[in-house]
Amino acid sequence: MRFNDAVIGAAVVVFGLAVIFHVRTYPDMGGRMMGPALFPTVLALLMIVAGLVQIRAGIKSKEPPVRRLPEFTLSGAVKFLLAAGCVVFYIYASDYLGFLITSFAVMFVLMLALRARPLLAVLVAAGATVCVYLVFNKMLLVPLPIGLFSF
Amino acid sequence: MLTFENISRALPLLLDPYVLLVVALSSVYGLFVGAMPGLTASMATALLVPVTFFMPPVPALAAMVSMEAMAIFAGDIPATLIHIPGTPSSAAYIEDSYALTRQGKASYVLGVQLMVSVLGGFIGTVILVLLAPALAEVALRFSTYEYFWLACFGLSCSVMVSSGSTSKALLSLLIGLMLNCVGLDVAMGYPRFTFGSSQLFDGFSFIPVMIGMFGAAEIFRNVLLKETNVAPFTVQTDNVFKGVSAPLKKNWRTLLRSGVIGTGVGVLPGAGADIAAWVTYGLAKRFSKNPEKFGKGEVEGLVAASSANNAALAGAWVPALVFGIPGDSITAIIIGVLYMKNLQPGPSIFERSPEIILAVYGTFILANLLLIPFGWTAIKLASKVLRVPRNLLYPVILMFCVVGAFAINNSLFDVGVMLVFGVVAYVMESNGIPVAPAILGLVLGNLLEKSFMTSMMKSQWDITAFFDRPISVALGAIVVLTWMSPLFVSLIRRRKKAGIDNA
Repeated sequence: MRFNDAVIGAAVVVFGLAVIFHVRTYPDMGGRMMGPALFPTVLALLMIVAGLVQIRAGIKSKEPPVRRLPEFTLSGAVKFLLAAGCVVFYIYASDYLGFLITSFAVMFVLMLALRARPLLAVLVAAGATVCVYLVFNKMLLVPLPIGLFSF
Repeated sequence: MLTFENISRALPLLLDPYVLLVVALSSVYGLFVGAMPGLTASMATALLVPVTFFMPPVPALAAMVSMEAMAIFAGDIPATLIHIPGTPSSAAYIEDSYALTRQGKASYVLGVQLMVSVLGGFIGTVILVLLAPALAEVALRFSTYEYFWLACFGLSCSVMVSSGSTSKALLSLLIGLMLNCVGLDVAMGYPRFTFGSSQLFDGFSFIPVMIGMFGAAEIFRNVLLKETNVAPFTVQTDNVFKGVSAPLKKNWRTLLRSGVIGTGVGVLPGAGADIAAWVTYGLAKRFSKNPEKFGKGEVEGLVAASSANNAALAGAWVPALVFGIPGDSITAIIIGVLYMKNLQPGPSIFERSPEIILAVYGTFILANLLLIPFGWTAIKLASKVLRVPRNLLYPVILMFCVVGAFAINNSLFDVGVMLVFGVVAYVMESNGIPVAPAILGLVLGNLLEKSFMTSMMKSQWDITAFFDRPISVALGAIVVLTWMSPLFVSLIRRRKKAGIDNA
């Protein structure tokens, strides 16, 4: 997915304005403007300038607002969403299911989506889960979530 | 610095069996990641952090140094064998190395690349050892005014050196600096952009952000691509070192020049091994007697760029250690690690913990020596490594990103941060916005704002104080010149063009 520079520029300008609006509520240091709001304000102003430059470049280029990159395919997009979704699933499920189950499930599903052979996927997902668990939980003592099942 | 006492204190630290084991393992890891197309050395560094986080400083740094030295060479292997660079640093000379492979000289090319990588690495290390302590002497006299200008210089460089549109690079830098504003502000401790979430008081945790931007983003990009399976190939890689000395003798000038220039590019903030390779390749072509052969299997270009990218690695450590300003994205991550270990980089680290500095020097020497046998083995095993199925590898790496982001603070919130920044970095890159300036903004934003605010408070809000001290004025002038440089370049180009038109 490639956006026209003007679209990016417009988004940046809106963001910059929002920042300036937001930081107006910050306290100042004894009547001077040099407080917590100074840096965000300067950055936001620069962002607005950079955004305007992008808008100009985008209008000049006469490209459509959104263009599909040549290497972009529908199945690629699905895989991307699945990969991101797997991380979200881990965030919400790992406390309840535990690291071992969640990690295995995430890797196995992704491997299948990337068209790995199922038997191989089971073996590698299980092996990698156990390896990561041993290294991080047993060696480095990271408290990976225990959940339903652990060793 | 290089006193007998310091060295005798640092050597046992480095030659400790545990450290040597760490070096060996990270070398293998570096070779693997470097040789896998689609996985970069920056990603390898980000994923190494969660493991080294639990180590003492010396093995942690040794792991990073040996890993990067191996990875940058290993990038040459798939570039030569299958015409796909293993890391972006090998892209500059891929046409030459692959052309020679098609002439049946694969093992010869890999042998040359291995040896010049080692020699380039040594040139970089020598410059690092000589330059860093000397600069540290100067830097000891720096106060907040100078650090403000230094931070400005580092940030400006990262915008100027990035390829493609300057305004997009500036945008990327601003995004990084703005993200750095999140959390308690440096002057009053007022929570900025936290929206009531106490988890954001310290800002975004640096390492999960890095893992997201370098690790997860690359996985997202890779799974989005159409399947590209590596076609099976058989390349004779016997006698790797046969006939290697002749081109080295013939091109020793190019080698030396590229090593020095490569290190210099590494020292510049924001420009790393990949830019070093492009610059030295271009220079070698300009100085060559037969530039028309470049891109068609000319060894001289290979020698230049392949040594320069390894030299740049050591160069990048110079500003990182002396000023806390990263020379490339790998040292950007390492500076974050040093802060976490309470080893603030800066001139005082040379006095406070010389053993750390010497361990970095020592590991560079050790890693470059080890590169010869390890690199040779990697060349021999290349055909097997390159056939590791990606569809099994990517999910494992993604899981590693998740666990790595979690391990720093044992927080699932950080896993979310990792994911968000992974998506952001992917969207940025696919829209032509480089990620490197944003990283520099994240690393240097705090230094920039803190040095500015402290300076202003010291001088009672008198902005002319930034031009009172001689070093400060000089640094300020350099920053302004950096900003004007695009103007000069376009002026010179116009002149030249006008000259040609008149002739």
